Amino acid sequence: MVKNSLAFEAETFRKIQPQEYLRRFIQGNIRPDGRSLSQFRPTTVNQSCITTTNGSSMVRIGNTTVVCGIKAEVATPKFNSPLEGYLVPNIDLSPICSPKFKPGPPGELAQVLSENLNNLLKSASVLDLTSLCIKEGIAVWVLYIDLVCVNYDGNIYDASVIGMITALTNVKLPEATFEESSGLVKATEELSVTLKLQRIPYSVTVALFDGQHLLVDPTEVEESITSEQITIVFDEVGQLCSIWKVGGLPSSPEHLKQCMNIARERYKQISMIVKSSI
Amino acid sequence: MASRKRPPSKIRTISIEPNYVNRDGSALFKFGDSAVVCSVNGPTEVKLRDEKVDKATIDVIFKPLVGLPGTKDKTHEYIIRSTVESVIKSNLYPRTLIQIVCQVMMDDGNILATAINATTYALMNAGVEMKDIAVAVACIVNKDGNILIDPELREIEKAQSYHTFAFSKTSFGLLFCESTGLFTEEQYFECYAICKIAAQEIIDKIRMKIQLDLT
Amino acid sequence: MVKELELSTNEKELIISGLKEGIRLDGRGIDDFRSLKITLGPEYGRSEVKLGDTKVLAKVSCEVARPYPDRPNEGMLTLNTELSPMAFAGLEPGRPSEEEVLVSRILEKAIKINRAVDVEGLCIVANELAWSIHVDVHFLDNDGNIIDAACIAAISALSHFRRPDVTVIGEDVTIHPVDQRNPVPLSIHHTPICVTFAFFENGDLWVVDPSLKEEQIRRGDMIIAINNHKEICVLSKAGGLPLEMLTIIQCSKLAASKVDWVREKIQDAIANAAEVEKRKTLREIIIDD
Repeated sequence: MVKNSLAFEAETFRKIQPQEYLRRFIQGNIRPDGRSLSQFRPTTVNQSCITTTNGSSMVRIGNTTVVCGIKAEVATPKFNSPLEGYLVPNIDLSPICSPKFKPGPPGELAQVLSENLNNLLKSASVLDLTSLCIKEGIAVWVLYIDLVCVNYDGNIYDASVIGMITALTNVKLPEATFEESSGLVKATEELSVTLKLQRIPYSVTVALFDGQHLLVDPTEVEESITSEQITIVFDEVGQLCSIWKVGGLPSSPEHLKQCMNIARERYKQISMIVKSSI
Repeated sequence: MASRKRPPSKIRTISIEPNYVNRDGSALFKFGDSAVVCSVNGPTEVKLRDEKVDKATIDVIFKPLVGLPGTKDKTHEYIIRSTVESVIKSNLYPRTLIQIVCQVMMDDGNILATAINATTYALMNAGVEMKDIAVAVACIVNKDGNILIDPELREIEKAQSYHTFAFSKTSFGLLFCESTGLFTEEQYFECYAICKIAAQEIIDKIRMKIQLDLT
Repeated sequence: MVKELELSTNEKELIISGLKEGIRLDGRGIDDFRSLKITLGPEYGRSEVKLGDTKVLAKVSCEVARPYPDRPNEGMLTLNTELSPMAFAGLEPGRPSEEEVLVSRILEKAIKINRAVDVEGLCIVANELAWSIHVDVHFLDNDGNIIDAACIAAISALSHFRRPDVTVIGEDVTIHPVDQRNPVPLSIHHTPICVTFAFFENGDLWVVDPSLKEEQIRRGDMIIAINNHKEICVLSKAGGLPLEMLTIIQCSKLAASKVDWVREKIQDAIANAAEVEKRKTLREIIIDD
């Protein structure tokens, strides 16, 4: 039987011409993993899963898995803001989640994500930092928000934001008082103080392919082929907290409007998923 | 507190100084009191591990005025690199390195847009072929809901939301956008429209400067 | 990795034969500095220095911090002299090159270890609060002798810098914002200025303020830092050509006169900056009225 030498196996075609491979699927209005262009991967959220932390969560979007743990410590506040505590988010992308990350100090992607998470907490005023004050000018709580990606399959930012926000909602701190006589901060054994978040933002990431097709919740393969990414963050009252669009081809306001509509719908979905996970 | 001395939709005086340092290409771009010097070195030799067979490797380093570079500067590097990667014809320079270094000289707000514009001019100064030109400008929405373009540092500190846009010259499509703070969809698209008009002004300024230098 | 191209034999011989007759490539005499331009401002503590084609920017900033436990009555002064690929092509950021270490050590010796700035005057409340002064030196363009340029930039920036005024009443510390009370200058004990010499052949030929090409073919070098009290703060002769004692003494005498010239330039720049500042405030008062 003569094998037709011009007919490639699908796998080979995907390796040699990844863009054309994706294009063929898109033309049929479907993506390589079977989803439609506007379909999100199944998302699950687990709360308070790590008992040694003050607050924790685990988020899965498709295969992308992010674990978030929050640890509280006491620190001295900055001189210019004696009533404010600190929130320190940090995401760790190591070889455990994907071979494209090398061991060692945080790479560019990890730093950019950490910076964006920090910006979101600050600019959206997610938590009133004066609620972390123990004694003005002397002691405040600092919350280290550590995110670890356990499996990287694209759309890490969305997973991280959901993880960070849900972990913050289930943080339990001890009651802390400052003793003047000893100059020490005393805390109760029992963890009873919870945080009151001022805002609950969730993000939605969309990739733009060929300057026209919006691929919602891109997988790692889709991310590596498309250079464009649009991320939109809404809060619970429909206010925008952040819009981030990088790279690639120029896009039009219509794309942004579409993304905003998608983001608003998705916000309701995420809220329901998070509520059912408590 | 002194209020702004110029109308809300007016950008500060732009000043461009090409060939600021001795590199393949360089430029100093100023928005009033915000200045960034960008130097471009390339196409030049690339390390084997960074080599790309079909296009140029673009490396961006962003150095702040004060302190050691941190995550914020890394983010600026990422933004400048991805914006510029899309406009440079990198497939004309395979297996080479185009090294871009941005140094903040004076910081009075709107520093990312200043850096992107400086990079664009420095690339032209270096003779790197591009299929488009990226121009950037920022604006804020302050607590009264007014939109102020090209904000100064003290205006940014009190702003409700801060938006930076980068447009492409040929199609005026959006190349890059970063918006943080609390804002509505209407406010966002208003900012978009205002910044687009300002971008046209910046392009005209750049074109005038090039014509001046060539004659 | 982009390496600076080595000079060709022709260029080397041209420079050496010129020096034998006392002429340098750019027409200077062997004891002439290149044209020096110092621009201070618009903010306090910002200095841009152009020494020929070598360009250096220095920025001084301050913040309040806790003093070191072993020095509870002193403030802190830190120098940051990271080299960048803007001035040095082919530099790998993150890993300090030999040159970077050299520059950083000389500047630290001249300014920090020599106590040019009065760090005790930076203390606000002993053991609790003190000013921490940061000097960031950025190298924009390298055409030789970055150490002298960096030293001039750092010293002029420190002389120009003003920190916010502080009042301490008992336990209460108030830091007055700059728009409410005029900021105060730093208390500077003395101002060391570096002068670099480069030696060629067997030590008979030497120049002051070497350009990049001269630096590339030099056989030895010496850096002397002299302050305004005519004291030698730093004398660095690290390896290279052996020198006669007489040469060293001659060089230090020359360095002293050069340092006076540089100091005059710095004073002029400070006076210019004060003029501009005065004119600006007058203009602002007129507009506000």
